[in-house]
Amino acid sequence: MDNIQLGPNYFCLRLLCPEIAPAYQPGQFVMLRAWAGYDPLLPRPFAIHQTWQRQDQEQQGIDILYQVVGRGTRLMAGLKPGDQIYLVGPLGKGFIIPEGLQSAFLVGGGMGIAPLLALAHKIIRDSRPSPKLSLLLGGKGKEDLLRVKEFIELKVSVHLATEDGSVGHKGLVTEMLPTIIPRQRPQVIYASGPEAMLKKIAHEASYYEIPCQVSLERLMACGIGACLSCVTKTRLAQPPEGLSPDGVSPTPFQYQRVCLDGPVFEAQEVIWNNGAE
Amino acid sequence: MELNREPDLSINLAGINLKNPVMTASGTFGYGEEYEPYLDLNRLGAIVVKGLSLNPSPGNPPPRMVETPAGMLNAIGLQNIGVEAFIQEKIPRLKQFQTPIIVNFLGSSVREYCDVAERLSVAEGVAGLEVNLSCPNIKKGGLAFGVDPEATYSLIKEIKRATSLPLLVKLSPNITDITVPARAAEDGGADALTLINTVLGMAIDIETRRPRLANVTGGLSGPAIKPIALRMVYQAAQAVKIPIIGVGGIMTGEDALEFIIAGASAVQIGTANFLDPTATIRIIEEIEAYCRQHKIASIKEIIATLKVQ
Repeated sequence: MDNIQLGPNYFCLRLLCPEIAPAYQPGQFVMLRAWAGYDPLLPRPFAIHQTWQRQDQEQQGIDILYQVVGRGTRLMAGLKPGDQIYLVGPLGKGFIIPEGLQSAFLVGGGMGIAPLLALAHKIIRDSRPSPKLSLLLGGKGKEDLLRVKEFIELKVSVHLATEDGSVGHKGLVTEMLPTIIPRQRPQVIYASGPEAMLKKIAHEASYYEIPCQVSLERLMACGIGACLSCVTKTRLAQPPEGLSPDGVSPTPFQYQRVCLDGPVFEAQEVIWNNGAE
Repeated sequence: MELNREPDLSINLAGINLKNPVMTASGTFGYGEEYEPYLDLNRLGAIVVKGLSLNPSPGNPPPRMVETPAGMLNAIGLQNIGVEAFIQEKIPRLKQFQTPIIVNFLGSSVREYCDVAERLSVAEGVAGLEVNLSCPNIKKGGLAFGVDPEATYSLIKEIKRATSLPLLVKLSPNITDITVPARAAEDGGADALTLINTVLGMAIDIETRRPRLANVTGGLSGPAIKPIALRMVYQAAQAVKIPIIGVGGIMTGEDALEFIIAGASAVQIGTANFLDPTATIRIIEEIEAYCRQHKIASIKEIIATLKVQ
């Protein structure tokens, strides 16, 4: 439908797909292949940014927010209205919104912002009275912070951090957590972004005993649970018999599929640093 | 002019009746159920499920996969639920479909191979077995059995004693002459050969100077390996009398037909399932269209019909 440039390397791809939009839950993703031939070979996973609907033309679809980082996304940047692309979705498990949610933090790093806007919309739509939401968003510089205006329009309180100090706190978004969490004590923390950021947020959330959901990102081949490429180490709820955490043995773990069992996980389930950089 | 009659795509593969020659490749189709939302499993020639071992196995640590030019490297390490859980939890669902189920399996010793084969033989709903002699990604992945023809021969002989099911033997391409293990497997009593498994490869991140796979090496699949697979199927077909199942980078009906003309009686579709979960169905339709166009009444007419000179 459209491929709008949002910044130097950022684009929003608007797709007409009436099958995917109605089934979507924030946090879910699609597998997308926007080129012919076998190089690049595999479709790429993208978080669905939001759904859209045009009553007058009875059209609906989804938006994909993406950054040009490699060959696949460079080819995507060349897409024009009318081009056909291959798409499977919505896939995976999205964010869970507990009943009666009164306050939540949405923490994003860079492109991690993608699923958070739709999540904010859904929380606001589903919760009465209107819950108190805060967005904590970090990036390298000002131009890496996307969709800030849309959150402000939703009356979400916005806290920004940039590594170059061009706007907001100078440094990482996670550095704001120790001061802001005790002040506001959100009921839930939702986080999406680089693994190192998620790990730090999970740590803070666990310290303050706040439930935290993280959206993991992995390379995937199939996106539907078959290839077992995207697995991540998670804690076994029930350690198998004869395996008890005795402080010596490693934590009993299982490999779960980020595509099918995630991409959103309870932060406390995740065993961090398992192979990803 | 086209034939009025629908072309007959059915084949009998080592006693297993397939409605068409298109099967799934082990490790790319999970336990079948993952694909149910996307295609009618009844339309497939056969389903080959993810490799099973006697006991459940967690598989290799991530990263397990990296994309390469027109291919992908994987080192999943045979993560699987184990033969018992498969029989209890997966077969009841799979056997509702009108499609033969072929179970890929492996062991770390002759004894274990035979135990798994025996257990699967008494389970209802298994049409055939595919013994994995060739996983490159685990230390005892059977590759040791696959590259030594004497070990291949005696292992197949032992497994045949443990099962009465048709036995497919999946061979490794990571050897000099494919006809050697092909003949060894045939002499040991294999009912059919599947070739090829993935080609051993690796990739390095030059910034970190680390391998891109936690396992360091992995198996290459996809269009990048198709010419190698095709050549090996052709060579093996000259060397043995048992049927051959061609696998390696098949993305289209045309690719599948190349393998059939080279000597394969059936084909397996692997990496193509990742690009499009309905790839198998499209490939079946493309084969059918080719037969109609070329007035081929039965797919059997073109198996091993390569014209050299």
